Amino acid sequence: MKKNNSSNLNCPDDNTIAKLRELKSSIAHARQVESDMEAITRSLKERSMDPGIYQLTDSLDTNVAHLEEIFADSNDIHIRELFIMPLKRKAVIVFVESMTDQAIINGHIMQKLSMPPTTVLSNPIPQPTYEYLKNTLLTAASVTAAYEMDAATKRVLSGDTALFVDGLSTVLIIATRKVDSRAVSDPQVESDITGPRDGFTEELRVNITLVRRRIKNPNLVVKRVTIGQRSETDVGIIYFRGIVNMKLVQEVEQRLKDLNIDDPNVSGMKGLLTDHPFSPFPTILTTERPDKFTAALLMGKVGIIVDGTPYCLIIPAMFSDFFQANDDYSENWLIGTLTRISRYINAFLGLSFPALYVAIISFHPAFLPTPLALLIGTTREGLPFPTFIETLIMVIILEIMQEAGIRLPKNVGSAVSIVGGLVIGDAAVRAGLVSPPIVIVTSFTAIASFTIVHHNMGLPLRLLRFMLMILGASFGMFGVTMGLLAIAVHLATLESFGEPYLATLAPRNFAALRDVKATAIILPPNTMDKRPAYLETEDSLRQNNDKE
Amino acid sequence: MMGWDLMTNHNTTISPMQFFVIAVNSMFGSSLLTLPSDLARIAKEDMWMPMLFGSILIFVAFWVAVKLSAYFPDVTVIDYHVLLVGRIPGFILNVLMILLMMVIVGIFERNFTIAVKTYLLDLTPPQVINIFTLGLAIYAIQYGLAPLLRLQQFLFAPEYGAFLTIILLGVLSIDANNYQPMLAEGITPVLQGMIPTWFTYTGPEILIGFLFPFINPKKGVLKWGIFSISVTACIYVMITLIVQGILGPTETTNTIVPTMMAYRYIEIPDTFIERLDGYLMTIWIVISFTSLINWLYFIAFGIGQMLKLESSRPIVVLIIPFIYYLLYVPPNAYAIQIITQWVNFASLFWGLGITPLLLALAWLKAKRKMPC
Repeated sequence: MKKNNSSNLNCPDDNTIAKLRELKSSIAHARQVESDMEAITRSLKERSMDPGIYQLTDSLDTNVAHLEEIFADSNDIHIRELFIMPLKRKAVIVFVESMTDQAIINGHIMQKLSMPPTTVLSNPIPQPTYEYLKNTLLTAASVTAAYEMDAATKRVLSGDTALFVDGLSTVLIIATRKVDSRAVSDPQVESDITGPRDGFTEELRVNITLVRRRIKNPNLVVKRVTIGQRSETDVGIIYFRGIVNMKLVQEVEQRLKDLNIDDPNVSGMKGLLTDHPFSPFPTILTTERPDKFTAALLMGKVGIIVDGTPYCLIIPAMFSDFFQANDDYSENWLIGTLTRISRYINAFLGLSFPALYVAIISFHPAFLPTPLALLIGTTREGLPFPTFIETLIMVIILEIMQEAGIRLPKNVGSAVSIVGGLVIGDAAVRAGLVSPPIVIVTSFTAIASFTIVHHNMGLPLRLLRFMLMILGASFGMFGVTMGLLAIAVHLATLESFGEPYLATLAPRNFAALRDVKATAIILPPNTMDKRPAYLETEDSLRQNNDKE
Repeated sequence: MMGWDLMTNHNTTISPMQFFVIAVNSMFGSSLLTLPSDLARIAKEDMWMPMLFGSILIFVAFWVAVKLSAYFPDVTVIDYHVLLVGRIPGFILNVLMILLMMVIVGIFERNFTIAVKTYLLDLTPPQVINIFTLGLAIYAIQYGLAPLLRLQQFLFAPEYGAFLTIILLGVLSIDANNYQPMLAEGITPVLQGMIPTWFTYTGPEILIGFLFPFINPKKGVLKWGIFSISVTACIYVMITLIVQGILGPTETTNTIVPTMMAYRYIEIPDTFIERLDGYLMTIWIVISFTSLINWLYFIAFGIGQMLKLESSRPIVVLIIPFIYYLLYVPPNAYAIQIITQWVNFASLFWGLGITPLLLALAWLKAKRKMPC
């Protein structure tokens, strides 16, 4: 019996082991339940908070309780109690530590409110009114009132300080915003030779300053709206009153109002604003150059600046806008015309050169003069791939290198060009994988497509290049021509905010030919005295001649 | 009447300048590829003369059509036929006109297919070429006149720029002996040759009937229309002269597509310029397409008007199979030639026979209404 007992202690029987396992799993399960419960209680407690449901009351305690519910768990939001000496009232200031200027809070709010009044008041203690606080006690430059909790929290989250006073159902908003932004620097993507060197930054106010500094005119209207259900991002709609067609402004405002997105910077606001979301072509121009932006405003277009991005939108955008650089106007007009026309030709070649090569080599070698056809024929001798596959490989490699060039850190980027240029170009030819002409074709295509001023226009061309190559490989020149015609048909059907995409290149009548002379070509500056006809601006003359 | 619209719901008006683009594009059908062979048979060394004088016929027809349309500034040809001759005869006139337009398009497209197959894609079944072209035409047409016009205007300069460059390169291969002797058989063959040239010019005199109510201001219509015919006539005469200069009248007669053949022969030593037929054909695809979409659009628009439809969009898709069927009715090149001759007569009769009659009728009606 004893022996049996001891053996029982030393090695527990199967029953005990099973029970222990059960206990272990129960504990694990309980932990699971516990964490689930915690998540449920937290999700109940921390449900999406809508400040709009809270009413402002004249009881400070209630307001503070509401604020604590709204800003629950956020440690960077300070709710600081104080005592307003002149009024003998309790008060609370609310601010976000990292976004506010502490000097203003200390010097112009805290100090002024907590100090006893310097002059002996003959009257009894005054009633705490908004006017009294604003005009007598607070010395900050900008003090406004908010009558709803929603508005007050929004201002707090933008960097202002809210002052809640006991017995007052109005909240005082004191401007204490401090902007920590990147310094204005060279535009990163759109480079110019003779243009100005400043580019937009991520901060809305800095960007508006850059525009206002260029147009010192009260008719430059900056309307602020808030976009984004969750992000509450500030967006500025900018236009020039007296030039712009108000129909366009209304359309832009309406579309912005109809946007139903979380955050314009993340959710692709541009894609939602555009007339044709399924088209590969951009119908909204983005720019990081203030000079280009202001030029567009003076032309009668509408600009949109979104807080948080250095790329501002210009509406409407025509096909020709993507081929214009400010350099064109700062140089002699003949040279400007030449470079601009060459850009269109380059875009055409960047789009279709590989397809033309495939079509001509595979279907119609007779297109080439005899010596050239023979030369290409000799270089292609003994190659393992047909022309289409060879071209496809090279164009795909080109795409890979372009993408790698963008993603790699700048100091590693040069490695890509060495690998790309040397290994893929030279070695592939030496190894007999591809013919030398295709290397020339691919590199020429790449360089040609780099001359397009706006990066967004280069992207659809990259996509359509493949389509044309497939057509070229299937139907030769007929296929390529049909593909190009299909692209032209598509461009003709596009619109940007109701304006035809090709408006500048297909003028409505003889008078509207002036659009062509300012887009496809450039004429001497003294002949460009009118704004584009397609915008139907209120004032079509660039200079007001009546004044002279 | 401006409430209904050209397919979409926009209130479209076009300028006389835009009509110029439509007129030029509609004239440049593919008959030009085959034309010099007919001309050479009839007028021999003087083949370029009927081309030049033939434009006078179209000038007259166009003038008549504009005057007739001017009596009804708010309605299209479909409506004023009915207003002029009554409901049933007007309907018959409309059906005949639409059928005539369809056959013209059919011949254009068939000739175009033959040329593409011969000079670019000799192993591809011609049906593939047709399906491709007509499919793209559906895409181009269904958004209405405004995008169609923008497309034509956008393509106009590069298209005709490249075309003229290639055409003018042909000058370098001309043999001056091919123009001699001049008027050897008198003026009669020249006058006879004017008849087949009609088919290359036909277009503006029919389309103006559809477009007139939409053109604003109407003042410039005649001016721009005549300008378009003059420009086209100049280019046609130039092409005929160059083809004649390269091939000579005898060889031009014996070739089905003499224009292409002439440019295949071009070879200028030490200049890198040789065999331009492929390039010409490639540009020709664009020119032919812009012509095709005009004709197809107005056929669909006309049918939509006849049926009093609010939108002609579905008609576009419905007429394409019919056009495709028409393409393969003529079994061979000879049949096409015969049909072309008949259609040419029919179209000539329409432009210089029926339209002037209608104009006279309109004039009489207007005169009767006017108080004396």
